[in-house]
Amino acid sequence: MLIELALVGTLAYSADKSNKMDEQALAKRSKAYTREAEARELVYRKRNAADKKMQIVAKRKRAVIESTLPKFIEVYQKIQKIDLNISDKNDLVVYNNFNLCNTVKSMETVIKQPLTDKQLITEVIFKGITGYMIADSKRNLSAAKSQLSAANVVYSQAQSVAEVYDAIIGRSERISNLIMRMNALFLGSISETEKVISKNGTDVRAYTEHDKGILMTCVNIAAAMSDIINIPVLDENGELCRSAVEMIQTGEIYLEQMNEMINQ
Amino acid sequence: MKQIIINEKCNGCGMCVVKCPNYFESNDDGNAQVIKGVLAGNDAVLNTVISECPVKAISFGGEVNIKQSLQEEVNKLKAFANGLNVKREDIAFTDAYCTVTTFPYVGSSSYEYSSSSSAERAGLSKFRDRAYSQIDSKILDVITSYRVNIIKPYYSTDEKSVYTQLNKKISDVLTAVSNLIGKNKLPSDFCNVDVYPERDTVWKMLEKGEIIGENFVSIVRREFKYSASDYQTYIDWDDMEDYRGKDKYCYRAQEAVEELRKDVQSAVRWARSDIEENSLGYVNGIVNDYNRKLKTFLDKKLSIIAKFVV
Repeated sequence: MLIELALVGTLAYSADKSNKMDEQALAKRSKAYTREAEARELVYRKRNAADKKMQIVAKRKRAVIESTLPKFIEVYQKIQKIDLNISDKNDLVVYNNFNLCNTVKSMETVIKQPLTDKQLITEVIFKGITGYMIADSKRNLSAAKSQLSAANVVYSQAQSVAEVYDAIIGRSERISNLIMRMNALFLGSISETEKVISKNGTDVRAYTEHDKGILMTCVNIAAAMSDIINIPVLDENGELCRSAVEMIQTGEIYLEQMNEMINQ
Repeated sequence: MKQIIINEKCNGCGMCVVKCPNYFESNDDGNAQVIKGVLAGNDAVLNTVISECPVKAISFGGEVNIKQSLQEEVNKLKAFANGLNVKREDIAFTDAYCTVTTFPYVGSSSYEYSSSSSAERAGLSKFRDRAYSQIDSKILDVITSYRVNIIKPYYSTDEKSVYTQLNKKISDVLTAVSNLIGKNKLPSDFCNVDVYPERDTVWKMLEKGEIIGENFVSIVRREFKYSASDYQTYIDWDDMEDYRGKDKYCYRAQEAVEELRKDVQSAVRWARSDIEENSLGYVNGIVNDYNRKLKTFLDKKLSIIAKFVV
């Protein structure tokens, strides 16, 4: 759309009356056309890169839901058979409030969504953050005194659009990385929980505090995982979701703490 | 030492990448891949990761003969020493780039001319000013598209550059070599490949917007043989009585404009061979510079590797 506006702008400048352009004019026009083509290419490249990164986020989410979550459901059903009397512990809030049905449901909602947020990307570029940039672009184009300066305006607008795509790419990479690391932690925790349960059975008296801690940690991670799976890259208004940043930060801190705990 | 194999079941969960970053990395699609040249020894963490992969996508392959593998990598490097060989089909000026879009709309006049001949003359004049004068501009538009998409990768150093792409392939082979020999035995920058043609020249050309192309306009121009008046027959006219009952005439130039578009497109297609020939000359000039530098670069690397290939 931006590029189309630019082309309209440049066509207005192309009302050259002479039959044949002189060499200098041709060189200038050549440079201007190249600049415009580069702007188109820049936006195209960034859009593809952003789309690819968002596809990877979707893939990571899908992997957790399809292969890790069933393992957890299996182990959670075993945990429920153990009559864990641990309500007096302060750090069990998550465990006590944990609702498997809600967690599974919320994760499964994600899998039903389209693989990428392509539509949202289009909106963020053309309606959301950069909406004002397009208005600026129109003004600048009408003020540009030559085809080359018009092409430069187009290029600078393309760079602004590219920056938005870069932000989406950065956000996607961060979420993707977080999901990947959380999933590794989650799988490890599920495996540990399975070992503890197969060793101790369903009699709560066989469980030491440390064993109970392993079970609680697993449920804890499941709850955190559910929150992370639901982090959108862009929200429904096509904006880079601000609340998601907080959730990513919380997730990263949590991951750090869990890793520290495991390594102790 | 054994090969590590990842099959198509990998769903990109990333567990192996997180737990064994020395063996696995994510590829462009987010799936896991074995780092080039990395082989499996007796590693407990790796064994655990293989057994815990949720989709059982990782397994061990056969035993690897390191000496033989190293020789295979060396052979690949030697093949790269030939550099880039640009052929005419690599820079083909295909139909996709030969399409001339429509000229600015010339339109028709309102009913204001007193005779058909004066309407026709006015139509031709408007056609000359608004469409015929834009021929060079249209040619340039077509050529720019070809230049940016096909020729520019030979004149740039960004990720789309042909040099960057070949450098990446060479870097992958060097990474494999480095993993086979042992990273600690090689210089820290062993896998870096930063070979490009003389950058100053390229950037100066880019800055001035003169990569190539200006002369292409004249090549196409030579194939375009029509004067503006040749299109007079395509200027149509129409008459109608005005409210006073007098005859009034208007012109319609759309047909002339469309004919001009087709003629320019034909000229572009006729010039295709010359454009490709010229492009090949320009491109080979700069590619030869790259190939020379690449050969020197690879000779140095091969001499380092030779110490380890007994």
